[in-house]
Amino acid sequence: MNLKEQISKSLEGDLDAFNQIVLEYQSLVYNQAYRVIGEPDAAADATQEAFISAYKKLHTYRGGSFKSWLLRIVSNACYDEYRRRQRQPVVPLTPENDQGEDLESAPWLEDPAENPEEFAQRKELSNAIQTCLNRLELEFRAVVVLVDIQGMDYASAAAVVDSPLGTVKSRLSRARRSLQDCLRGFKELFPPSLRHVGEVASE
Amino acid sequence: MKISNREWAQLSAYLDGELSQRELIKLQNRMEEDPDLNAALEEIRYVKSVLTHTPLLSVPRNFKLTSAMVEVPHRRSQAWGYRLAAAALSFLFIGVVVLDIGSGVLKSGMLGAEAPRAEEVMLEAAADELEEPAVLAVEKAAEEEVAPAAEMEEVVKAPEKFDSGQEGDSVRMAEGETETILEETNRDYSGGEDAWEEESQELENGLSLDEEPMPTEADYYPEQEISRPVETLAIPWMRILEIALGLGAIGLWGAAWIKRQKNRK
Repeated sequence: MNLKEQISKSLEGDLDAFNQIVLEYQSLVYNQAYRVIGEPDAAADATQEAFISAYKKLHTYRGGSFKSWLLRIVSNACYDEYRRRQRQPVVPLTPENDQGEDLESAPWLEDPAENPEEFAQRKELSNAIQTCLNRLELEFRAVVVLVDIQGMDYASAAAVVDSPLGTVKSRLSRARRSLQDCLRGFKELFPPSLRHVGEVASE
Repeated sequence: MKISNREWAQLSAYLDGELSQRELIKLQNRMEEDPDLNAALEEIRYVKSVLTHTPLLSVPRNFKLTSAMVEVPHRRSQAWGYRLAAAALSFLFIGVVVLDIGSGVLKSGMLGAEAPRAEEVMLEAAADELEEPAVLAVEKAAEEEVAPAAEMEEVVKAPEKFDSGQEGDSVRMAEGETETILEETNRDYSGGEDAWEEESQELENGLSLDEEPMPTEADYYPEQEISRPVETLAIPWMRILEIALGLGAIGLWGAAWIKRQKNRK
């Protein structure tokens, strides 16, 4: 069943058909939410809310990029969740067990296919990038995640964040400049192929 | 390195392939001349490369929807009935209060028109003050006129000075009227000491009389002549209505709020 059929069946009330879409896009949606909000629990909540909202608003989808349409809903869900969390006590970023002790590894980062060393490197890199992203304002963070992490073009990103193209261009440029120094601080965590990128500029 | 924000944005867009053909050629020409722009481009390229290699996180759980998640919740009553009633009562309350205040203002305005104005009262008081010396002068003149008569009375009261048939030669009365009074007085007291004593006794008797009793209600309001003011039971209906409407509105708003809180839970 392709996406078009899944959508039409979902519109008829077939929840199983929509859940196939969920399984297909949940990684994309969760990663977007996590990178924008910066907290795993909040990202999970935003992801769930985004899918519920997408199911209810599916009739508003008029064709075109389903990914852009879905990410727009995710973006709104992230803003709502972020604001809600701002009003409530801060949840610690590091995963904890029931006793409030730090866990050795976050279950959502675990990948059974990779060895422990690779997993550790991936985790450190992920945390380093997230640390730098968290220093940006939410609007800048959303744009840079959409373009640089999700690989969207400017027009699609503009549609997702509901802003003019010039605004996206400007926010992206400023976000990247803000991230420069922060990311250089974590250079040793990056893969060897990345360590030499931009060395001409730094010399 | 002195690169403007616009140049940074153009370099960023250049890296993403988002520049128009014209902008692209223009920027490339400038980059050939300015090495700083090349260095800046490398900086942006580095950030983009790192972000592009951001590890994809595994989802912590499944986000599949259940029917309970997506079922349209039964539209709960949002206490519209209470709200509507409360709003209606509130409007009524405001209307009655406005009517009450308005009628009060109107009544006081009418009374103010009938009553002497304060300015007029002041003017009258000032006029009284001005008139006072004149009045005093008139009173003084009157006293001067009465003084001989009073003097004469004293003379009359002294019986030894008024022998029967003897006129008061010592009394000098300019006015003919006073003389007439004097003559009458002398005639009255021509009876001598006995007459004087009788009169004195009468006066004493008169003074020793008991005080008149307090007038009764019947004296004030003689039957069928004047009716006493009717004491009406003055119930402030307006106030009662205001209080009732105000309390009703508050109660309904409270009920609506409680219902809303319950619905939220």
